[in-house]
Amino acid sequence: MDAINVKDLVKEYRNFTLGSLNVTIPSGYIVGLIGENGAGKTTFIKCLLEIIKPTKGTIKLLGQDIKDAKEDIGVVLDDMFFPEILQVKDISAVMKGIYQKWDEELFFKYLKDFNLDPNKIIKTLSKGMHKKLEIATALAHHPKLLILDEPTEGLDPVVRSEVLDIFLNFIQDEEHSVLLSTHITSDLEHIADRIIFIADGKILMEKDRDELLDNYGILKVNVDEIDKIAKEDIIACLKHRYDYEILVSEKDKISKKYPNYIVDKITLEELMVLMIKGERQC
Amino acid sequence: MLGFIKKDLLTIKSNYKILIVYLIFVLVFTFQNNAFITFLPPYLSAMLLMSTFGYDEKNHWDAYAATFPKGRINVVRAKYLATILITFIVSLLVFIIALGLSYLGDDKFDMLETIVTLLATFGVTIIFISCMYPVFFKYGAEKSRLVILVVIVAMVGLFYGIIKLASLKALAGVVTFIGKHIILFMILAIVLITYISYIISKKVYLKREL
Repeated sequence: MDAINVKDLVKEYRNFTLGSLNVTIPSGYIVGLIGENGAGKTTFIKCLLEIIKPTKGTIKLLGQDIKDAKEDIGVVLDDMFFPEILQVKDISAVMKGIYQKWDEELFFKYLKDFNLDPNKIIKTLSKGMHKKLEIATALAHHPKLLILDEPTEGLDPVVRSEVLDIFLNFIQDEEHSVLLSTHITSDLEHIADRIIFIADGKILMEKDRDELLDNYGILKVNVDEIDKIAKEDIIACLKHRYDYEILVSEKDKISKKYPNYIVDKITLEELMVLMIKGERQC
Repeated sequence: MLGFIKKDLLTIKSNYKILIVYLIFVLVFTFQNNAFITFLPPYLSAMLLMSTFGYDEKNHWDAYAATFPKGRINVVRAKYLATILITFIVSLLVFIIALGLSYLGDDKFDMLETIVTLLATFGVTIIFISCMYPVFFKYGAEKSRLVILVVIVAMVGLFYGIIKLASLKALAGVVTFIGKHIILFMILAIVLITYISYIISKKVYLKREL
């Protein structure tokens, strides 16, 4: 069963259009959504969760219509949460009356694990603690699908690593899946199975993480030697003061073709920058 | 839906500063004029509930709640139910206090007058929120602030119009008939207006982009 199945999704605004998007995320996957600010990641997530209505297209979550799947979905949304004047423990009192499978014991266990004081008022929490509370809330009703918008933003590296481990444990059950949007692309290099790269409302690239990181690379060439690189080998090209950074696919083949140049491994961040800021030709 | 009602009640509870001001307000005015005890508590309780829209908006609760099972519809239902419930309970408490004082020999309270005043306050309060809630659900708390004034002015105008209409000789028969069954007509009017308001709120909120 697919965790997420999106067909021909379009959301039109006056100055921006998302889509048409077709996305299929199988159960058991962690999928990372990357792209610059305003690319459409949050719009996509909002469509998935019925926060906004798509102009057209169909969305199935866990094989069902969205409204029927909500009991099994946990969410962390950027800047959207409970009224800040409530106490941390109030969340459990409220959620008990919303989710049939709300697990109070599990919620308070997460609070303990995250060093969150149940009696604290939400607005007094630091950004990182607030994020931890959002994550605990998303997990405490035993969801099958997590949809997370910037879930690790504001967390220190130690807690971020703990949270990523929680997500990894979560998908040990093959019925479970995670879709997470983040600017911290290094997180995705550790945990994501697949990467969806959105730019200007369209999917620019959708590939398995290993394929992406193993296959793509950066070819570095001095400014005066750029003519030696065949145009068909260039996916994107970024000019610096003394050299060019060229995004290439089939890294090993390119290394053999241009033995005098170095083809470096690529990070998701470098890939994003090259795809967005780079030119098609040098 | 219980969770959504709890959220609103906990929001009010957490906002203890407003609750303290509320109590001082009620006490001060009750000592000055007994009529306030029947009017202020139910009205201010509904206002407290209405203030939760502001907290919801500040933290984008609506968008978050839309991701819950039956989230949108329950947000609307809970707001109406919580407001009606709290206003009713507070009205009932006021009635019990008035009854107690009357029983203890305090002749300041005319029971029939208290009941009619309470019912009228309850009715006006519910009609007021019935006018406001569809606007809140459509535009959010921030944008709806100005509308509160418009609704108050419109309601005063409406009541003034009704009083003027009732004084017309041609309608004397109708006025007498309604007067005989005033409580029934008040209840019918409250139920009908609340129901229409709820249906409008539901319709606009289910369509709204959050």
